Amino acid sequence: MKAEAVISCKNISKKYRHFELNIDSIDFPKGFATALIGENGAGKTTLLEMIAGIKQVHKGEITYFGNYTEKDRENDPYVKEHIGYTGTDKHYFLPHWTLKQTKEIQSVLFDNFDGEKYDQILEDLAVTSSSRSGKDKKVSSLSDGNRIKLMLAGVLARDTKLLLMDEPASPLDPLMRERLCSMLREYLASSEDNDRSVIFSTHNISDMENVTDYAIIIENGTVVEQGFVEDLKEKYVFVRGEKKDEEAAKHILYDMTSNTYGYEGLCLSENIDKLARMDVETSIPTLSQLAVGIMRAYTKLKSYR
Amino acid sequence: MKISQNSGVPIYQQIADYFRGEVLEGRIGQGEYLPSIRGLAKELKISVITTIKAYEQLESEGLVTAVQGKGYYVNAQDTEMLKEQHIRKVEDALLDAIKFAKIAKMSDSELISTLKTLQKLDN
Repeated sequence: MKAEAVISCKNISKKYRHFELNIDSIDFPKGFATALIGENGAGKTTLLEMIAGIKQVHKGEITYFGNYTEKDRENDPYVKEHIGYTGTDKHYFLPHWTLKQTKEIQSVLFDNFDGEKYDQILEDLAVTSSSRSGKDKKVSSLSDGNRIKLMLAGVLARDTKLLLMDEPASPLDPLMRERLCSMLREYLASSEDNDRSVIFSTHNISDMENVTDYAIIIENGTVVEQGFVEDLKEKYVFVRGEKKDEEAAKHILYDMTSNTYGYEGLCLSENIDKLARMDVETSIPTLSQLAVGIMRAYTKLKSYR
Repeated sequence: MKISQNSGVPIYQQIADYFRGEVLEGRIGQGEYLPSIRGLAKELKISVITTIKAYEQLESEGLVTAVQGKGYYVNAQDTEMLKEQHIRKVEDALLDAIKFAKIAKMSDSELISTLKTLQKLDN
């Protein structure tokens, strides 16, 4: 699969005292949803904030919508108008603002902000109700889940081409996660030119699998694997085997966990023939099995038995 | 279309199988377009890339052709070739039957009479 890039990152690096982000190259595909997956502290938020322009100082280049630079992002309204960002920061909106004020402020900030659509989404998502309007509710009184819904309504009420979302699923309940996935698929489908894209970070891999087209796995500040999910599912095979073969299989598998009865793990498809003499069961990995296996191969966590 | 997340058959395969059936049985005619990729993904609650993989499979089988920016339309179906494909499916299924008959130690005549009985039931 080849696709044009909505965002291109080249040789991005940034040093902190205890952490370093080093991204050689990522082309986020245009018209698709990309998931950033990785352990806590891997660098997902840092990368999203760089793209959003919240963290501005770093080495390397970020290109927007094919031909806009980071300078353009600050000066040319096109880039800002067409990117919607939702963060995990509790104070994305100031806590003492009322819901009505969040609407007024966004309509001042963004030319393409549709206030009616904003109200409608908030009502659909039960943040406000039509009978008891609740527009005077303060941001500080909202639950974490409702705060995400408020940000979601804000970005969906604008005519954007790219959504950047940091952990949108985490504070949501199962029903609302499902709704989030539907809203994102709807967003991708709602442009005739297929030029709407989503980039989100998540720990809730299985909840988000059916809205993940491209996956980027980041560990310790570097990209350790990336690709279209269907391609990754061909690159790796999930293997389960018998205890007696564990030692031999250990040298062939990409990642392995074992228990008293047997082992399981990821194997690169190109190496699967080497397991031919062993009694194994193979299956196409889920995105969750893929991500966990790859993360485990790079983690600093000590393995446990 | 029934999509099962855990049937063991990959989702893209289930979608390709469904549309192959629709095309081969003439419910989607020559020159008609398959549903838009992102629209279908939205309807079926699956990722865009899975839908693309399904359509690419149908394209590689020669059933549909991709047009940049417009989607996938159904090709003229060669009836001889279709018949050929179906005969191949029958042969595959019969080979499976023969394999299992051997395991179950069925005699040739038992196997043939089972086939005849099943045909009667089907008619």
